[in-house]
Amino acid sequence: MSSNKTWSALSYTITFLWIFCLLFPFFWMVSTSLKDTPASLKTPPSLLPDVPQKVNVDLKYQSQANETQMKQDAATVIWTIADQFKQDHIGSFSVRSIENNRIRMVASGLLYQVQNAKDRFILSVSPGPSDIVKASDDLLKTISVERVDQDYTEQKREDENPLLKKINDTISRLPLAGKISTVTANGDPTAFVNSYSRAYSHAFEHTGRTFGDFILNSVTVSLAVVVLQLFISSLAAYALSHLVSPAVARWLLLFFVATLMIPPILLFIPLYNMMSGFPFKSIPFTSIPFPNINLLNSYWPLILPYTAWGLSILVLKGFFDQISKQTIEAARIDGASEFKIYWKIVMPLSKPILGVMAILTYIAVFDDFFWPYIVAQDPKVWTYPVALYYAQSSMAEPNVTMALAVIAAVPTVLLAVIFQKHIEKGISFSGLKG
Amino acid sequence: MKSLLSRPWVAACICLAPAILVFFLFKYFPIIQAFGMSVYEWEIMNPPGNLTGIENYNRAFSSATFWTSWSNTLELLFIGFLLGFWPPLLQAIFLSNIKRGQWIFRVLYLLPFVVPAVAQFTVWKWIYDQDYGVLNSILGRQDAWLGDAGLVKLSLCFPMLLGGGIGVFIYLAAIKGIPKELFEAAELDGAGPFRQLIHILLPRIKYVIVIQLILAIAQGFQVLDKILVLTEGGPAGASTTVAFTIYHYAFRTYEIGYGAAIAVTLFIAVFAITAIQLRLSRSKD
Repeated sequence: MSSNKTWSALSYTITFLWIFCLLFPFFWMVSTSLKDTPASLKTPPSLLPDVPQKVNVDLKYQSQANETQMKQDAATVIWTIADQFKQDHIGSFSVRSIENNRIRMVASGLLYQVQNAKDRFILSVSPGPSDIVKASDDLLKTISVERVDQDYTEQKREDENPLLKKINDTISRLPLAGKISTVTANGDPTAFVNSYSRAYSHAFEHTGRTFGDFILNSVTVSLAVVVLQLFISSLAAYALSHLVSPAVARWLLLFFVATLMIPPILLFIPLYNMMSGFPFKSIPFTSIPFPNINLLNSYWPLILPYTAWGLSILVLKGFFDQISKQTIEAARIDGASEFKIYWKIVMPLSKPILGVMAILTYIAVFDDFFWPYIVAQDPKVWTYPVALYYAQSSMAEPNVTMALAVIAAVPTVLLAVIFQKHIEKGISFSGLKG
Repeated sequence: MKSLLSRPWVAACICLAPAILVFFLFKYFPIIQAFGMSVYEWEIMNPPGNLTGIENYNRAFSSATFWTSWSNTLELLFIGFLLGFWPPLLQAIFLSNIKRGQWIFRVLYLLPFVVPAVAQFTVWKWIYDQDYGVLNSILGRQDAWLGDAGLVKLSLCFPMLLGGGIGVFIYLAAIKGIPKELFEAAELDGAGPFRQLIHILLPRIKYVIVIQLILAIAQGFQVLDKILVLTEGGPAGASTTVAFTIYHYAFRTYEIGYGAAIAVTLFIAVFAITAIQLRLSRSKD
């Protein structure tokens, strides 16, 4: 526009600021998803997640230590850490039992697993050491316990680290058979994805399916719609462009494009009815029964209504109009049938615009929520947005909920980054023609 | 056989048939069905049920919830328009001035369009959380953004201030279509950027702005996803929109005929308002 320097600087500044604000919810989504549950519930919440720690405790035993003692000790130590050090961003732990300078047993796992187990196996509100000992077998089943025979090298004591000192002090007061040798902690960035693993399996507990299944549903449905819809729309656009007179084309185009103004909720009710007995339960306006099939809880209702998209026909026709009539006439004179012209001439020339509409369609179907929510009640056909909705309404752990939201965003964001130019082209075609 | 198929009108019919079929089956026929369902006490198991005529409509028009849902919808439409209509336009104007690195901003402005709405609503629900949400921490308050009837409509519309989405790109494309010479000529005449904005840019994209306005209003009547995820129509019906009421009666209490009747009123209202707007915009030209 203007070459005015202030105007340019102002534009940069305002755009920067606006983008910064616009990005905040997305940033918050990711940041929360990388925290552990107590951190995500901390008030006030911290802006960035802390690096999760991996805590290791070495316990030394005299020669006659038996396995039960080692296990009970491990369980007691692990439980204490899980219970008393919730706020310290400990992601994973290991307890090594050492005898005769050899490591005999390693009990390791992720802290949230223990915290979940704690709720299941230890029933008293403030359990004493004996309660934990009783539950130690169950507790240990949720983590990995290996009998090994490895060399042991004494680790350096780190007394400066306040967290380790606290852990050391707390554990020293426990009635353990072994002696505490060293407590160490290292940053463990791999624990950042803990909430993602939990997100992945969360649904499994309630519905028997993982979120991978739901993504698969979404992808399947979206791809099916893209193929069907583009086929139907391009055929119609070709006819409007080169097979019928402009007058007829205008009216038909209006027929197709007018549907863009129909409020979707108006259609939900009769369409749901239709899907429960497709195509009609009785011949319209009569009570004569008609053979029908209940399509609910299959992929069909998630696909069929989306095959009718007026925008697609509008944009494709606009593109086909620009294909020279002479090329088509020449092909006709050469004896080609209309379908050959469509398939061998028009479609290859239209690859760019077809790509654009494919991406726009895919994103629209993948992200759509309300219709799938109504029509896909059985978890086996849930699309990802539907699964996300159910998960967030029943879950109290924000970090896992946010992990689910991030997973929802990733596929379409990737598409947007890769095909940004296409998407913009599609948007501007539809915006300017509309 | 081949000569029959290569006659244009036969091919035309075959090419158009699938599209006409699906549009009729999934768009136009359902509209008629919705009208039909609204005059019955529709039974989904054993259609159609009792013919009740305009009773569903009477019930709607005499129901306080019905009218409240309309006033809620209009309030949300108004607040949403105030907060949400102009950001994409402004963002596009500023973006058009940026030469270097414009593409980064363009990708980022796309985010609200490509990220599933449910995911975005989920984050905002968490940001607005009364006890643990980040908004209350930043402000140092304890407000129930989604739980207070006085705040909820504002909270629902506030994220629209952040802009982004397809609007930015539609305006951007329109702005790019303005011949540069117009701006250069104005600058030679001594017009500053602000005057150029008002006298050249805005008038030339007026058409696009009007269309976006019509679409925004039509869509504003249909707010539904947002309500379901964020407030479920609460608190105490303060954010229950017409669309949410339709959903409630059709899919929760299974009073399908009643829901269809309300949906028909919505359809007629949106249709009428859009038609009026189109008329007005045509006559201005």
